[in-house]
Amino acid sequence: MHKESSLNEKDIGLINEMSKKCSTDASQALSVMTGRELEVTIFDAQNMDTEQFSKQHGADEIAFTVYLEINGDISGGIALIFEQSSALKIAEILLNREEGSMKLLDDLGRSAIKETGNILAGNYLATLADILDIHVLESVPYMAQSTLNSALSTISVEMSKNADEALVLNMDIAISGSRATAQMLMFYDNASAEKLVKIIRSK
Amino acid sequence: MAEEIYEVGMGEYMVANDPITLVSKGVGSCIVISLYDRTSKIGAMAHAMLPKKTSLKSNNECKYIDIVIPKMIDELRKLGVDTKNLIAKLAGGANMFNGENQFASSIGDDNISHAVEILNDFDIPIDGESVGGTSGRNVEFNLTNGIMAIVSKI
Repeated sequence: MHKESSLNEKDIGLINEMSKKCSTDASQALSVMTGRELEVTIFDAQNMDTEQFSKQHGADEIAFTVYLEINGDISGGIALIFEQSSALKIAEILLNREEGSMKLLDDLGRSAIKETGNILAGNYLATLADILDIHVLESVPYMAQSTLNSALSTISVEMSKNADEALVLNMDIAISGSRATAQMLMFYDNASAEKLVKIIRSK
Repeated sequence: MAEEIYEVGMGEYMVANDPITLVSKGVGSCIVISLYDRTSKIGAMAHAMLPKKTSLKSNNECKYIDIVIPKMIDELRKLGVDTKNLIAKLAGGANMFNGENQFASSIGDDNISHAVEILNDFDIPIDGESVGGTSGRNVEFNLTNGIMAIVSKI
């Protein structure tokens, strides 16, 4: 299949390295908020067809997906994914509720999850903008409560308006002392990914 | 004869006949369009992503509604289907990221209205639909009876 991106492995490696610093800062912000230690696992970035990533990352299970659009010097999106059980645990921690007491996510719980996504994404992007000295605008957080594959397919559609391919960064964030985890996916269209590499190289 | 199941992924379409079932999973703002001829039990299903082809160079034009519907009709004609016998069904076009912060994009709504417009252009009646809302859908289109079954987890 024709690949429109000119990013090579070294370029993607540069983006990976930068992403590690950004996600560490983002998780520290959540650590302060929850009073818990966090463990971040970062997987290698992948360049993939926009049609493919929802298939690869999206299970047919209910999840809470918080999505922010990115504009400014680069464009793309950032999605924070919380499986239902993790969302309940995180909401309990943030709302100081007894462990196991939440069976359904109420309005306050939904708001807590949206804010968690907002903090992770916001801090990730703030570090990115700071390191690269670029202007990054994030949208307000949007949340979907549905099967993960349908939420990610909607993000695929948004990305596919601008490009056939996207660079996808994938990381897991686990809260210690709890089985709560979140997955963060970062998407850049190819023009933005190439722009990022140019900026990183010039630093 | 045993029923066979084929998955139609995002940006794909398939033309098939009885006893096949075509399946699309995780349909969010995309739209699934099925066409069916009850007489011959031949049909087609597309999992389209966007309303219209733009100036953007794309590797996969079947993701556009305005390309994939005529393509399916053309292939059905080649199989001997009279387009006067065709009926259509639609599923998808959800606004997944909704709530107090209204998602700026209206792609789900745009997909629904564009699919309806193109089917009208071809005089193909819409026999059933499950569109809009804020939940994803799994779609199963059975070519033995033309039934499109929708499963939505909430």
